[in-house]
Amino acid sequence: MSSTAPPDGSQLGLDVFEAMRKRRMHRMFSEEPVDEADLERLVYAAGRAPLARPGIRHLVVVTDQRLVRTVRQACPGFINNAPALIAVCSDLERAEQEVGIRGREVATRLDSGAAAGYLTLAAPALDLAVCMVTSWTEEAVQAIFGLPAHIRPEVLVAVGKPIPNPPRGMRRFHPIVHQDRFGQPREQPA
Amino acid sequence: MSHTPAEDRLFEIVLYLVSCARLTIDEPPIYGSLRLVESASRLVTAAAEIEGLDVDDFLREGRGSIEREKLRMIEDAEGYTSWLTGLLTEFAAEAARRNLGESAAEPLSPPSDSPD
Ligand SMILES: Cc1cc2nc3c(=O)[nH]c(=O)nc-3n(C[C@H](O)[C@H](O)[C@H](O)COP(=O)(O)O)c2cc1C
Repeated sequence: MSSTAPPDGSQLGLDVFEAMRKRRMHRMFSEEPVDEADLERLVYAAGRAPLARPGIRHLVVVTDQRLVRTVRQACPGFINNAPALIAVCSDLERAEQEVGIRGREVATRLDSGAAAGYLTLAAPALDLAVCMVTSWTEEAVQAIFGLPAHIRPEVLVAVGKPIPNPPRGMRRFHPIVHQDRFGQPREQPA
Repeated sequence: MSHTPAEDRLFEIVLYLVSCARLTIDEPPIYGSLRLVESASRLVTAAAEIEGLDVDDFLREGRGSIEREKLRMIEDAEGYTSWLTGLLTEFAAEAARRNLGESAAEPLSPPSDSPD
């Protein structure tokens, strides 16, 4: 049920900064399915993302086309034709037991965001394309995957192979950076 | 329980609309706009798959325009709004042509002299 060892593919690699530069969200995918081995590598990547405590993060790997289609129909933000997806979910009860109310409200969001971030970085190393999707209603996603009430779906990561010439990505969104105190601009080193 | 392809498409569109109806309560209005044009596009796609239903060029082009432009709302709300205003204008003019027939092509006659 969980991946602890790196899956076969030790030859795979991409400089992490190169992966950051290359990564982007895709909404058009090729029709080719994603290999099970690549899905396992993605599971490994999501599992390696920082985790507040064990037992909080759950990953649902979805390759059944009937379920992928259902997601496309019931999740308004899933506007892509990916053949697979990984639903990153949090166990809210476990999070609260382990880390209290901040575990439930804060750690789960950071935890799942980190997992999704790792997925977006792993994808270019595997020649895969992904898109993070959060525009949907939790109850609908719970109903589709049979998630118990205490398992909150956090983000659906659409997964597929990229098309040869994808439409240009969005202009990069940049953070606002401060130095020492809020509002004090940070000078870029020469 | 087996359904015809047309029934399946109908169910999908209704489900998507219901999902959007719920989600728009939690999202800013411009997202509601995206959800509606996405629904319009999906409706045209679904209709094209239904035997006996003719999807004309005007609707196909409208769908093409939606697919090309819809995501502008993420980074260019103004551009998105003006594209959508243009699309609506084309639809309204097309509706007038369809409803009025030939006479829509004629310029509107100036109002007749009428007492103030
Ligand atoms: C938290 C989060 C939620 C997102 N939700 C959606 C979504 O529901 N649907 C979608 O198509 N894209 C979604 N995206 C993708 C963003 O729109 C995308 O990251 C943004 O357009 C910038 O593009 P880039 O990441 O390729 O630079 C989401 C991204 C993040 C980080």
